[in-house]
Amino acid sequence: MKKGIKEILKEQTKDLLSEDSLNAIEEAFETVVEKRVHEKTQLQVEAALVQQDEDYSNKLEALLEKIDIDMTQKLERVVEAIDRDRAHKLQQVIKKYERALNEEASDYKRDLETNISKFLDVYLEQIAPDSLIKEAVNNKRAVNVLSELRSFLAVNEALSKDSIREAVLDGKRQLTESSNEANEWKQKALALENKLAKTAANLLLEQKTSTMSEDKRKYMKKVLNGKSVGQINENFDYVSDLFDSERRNEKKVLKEQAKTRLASKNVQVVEEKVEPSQPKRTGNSLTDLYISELKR
Amino acid sequence: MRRNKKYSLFVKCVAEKNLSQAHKYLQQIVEGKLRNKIQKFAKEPLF
Repeated sequence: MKKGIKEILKEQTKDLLSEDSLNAIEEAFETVVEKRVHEKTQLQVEAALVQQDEDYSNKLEALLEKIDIDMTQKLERVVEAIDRDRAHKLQQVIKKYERALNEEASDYKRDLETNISKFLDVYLEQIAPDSLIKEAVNNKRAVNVLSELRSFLAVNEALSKDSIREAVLDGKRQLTESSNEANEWKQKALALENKLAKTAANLLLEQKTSTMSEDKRKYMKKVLNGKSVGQINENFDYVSDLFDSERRNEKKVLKEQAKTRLASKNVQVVEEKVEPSQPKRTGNSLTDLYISELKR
Repeated sequence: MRRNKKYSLFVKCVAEKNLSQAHKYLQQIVEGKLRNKIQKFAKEPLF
């Protein structure tokens, strides 16, 4: 066990010092020791505190730095998100206003024009009704038509007087009557002309056939009846030849028939049958064919 | 397009208080309407 200072001094001094002195020395020694201890502890505490302070401040700085970096990153992300969101909303606002400007404004403009037009129509109908305008238009058109008719018919104001109009009407009547009369005479003249032509043709035919036989005359009249003088002159000789050739053929046929009858009575002779109805073809077959066609 | 343009110009002049020009546009609009009516009635037969 450690001894106190009092015991140590007692041992060392061998009871030289009194109890009071020892107590005083012990007290003083303890006081000084306490004081020194207290100072040293103070210094150590202060040093430890400073060290701790430094450590804590370093740690705090590091922590703050990290927090700062972290916060900065988070804020940047937040700002970016907010920017994106706001930009998107701004774009929507722009689109909405563009639509409002282009479509809704143009619809409004169209409606406004339609309403103004309708209002003007109603107001014009009140001031100048359609019936009034129609009447004015018809009047103007009638005036134009009348003036054109006047110029077309050469009628002017002078003819609107009664006396001149009567004279003009009378003249028109006379002209119409004269025209009708002229037409009638024309028709009569035509009829007379036709009659004269017929009479001339008949006279010519009579003159030409006066020297002929009765049969021939009848035949010529039958063929050339109703023809004009020129046609009679052209075709008279031809028709006459036609008749003559027919007669010749008939005579020939009759002769042949008589011969065959005689021959059949006396001798059986093979002869050619002659058909009187058909004329015999001669060398002029084309002429005979033509003549037969004309007989029809 | 011309008809719409006249109406638009008329409204614009009225909004800008340019009344003399607005009057001219209105006059043109009214004349156009009356002309159309007259042409419609002119196409009908007279008798």
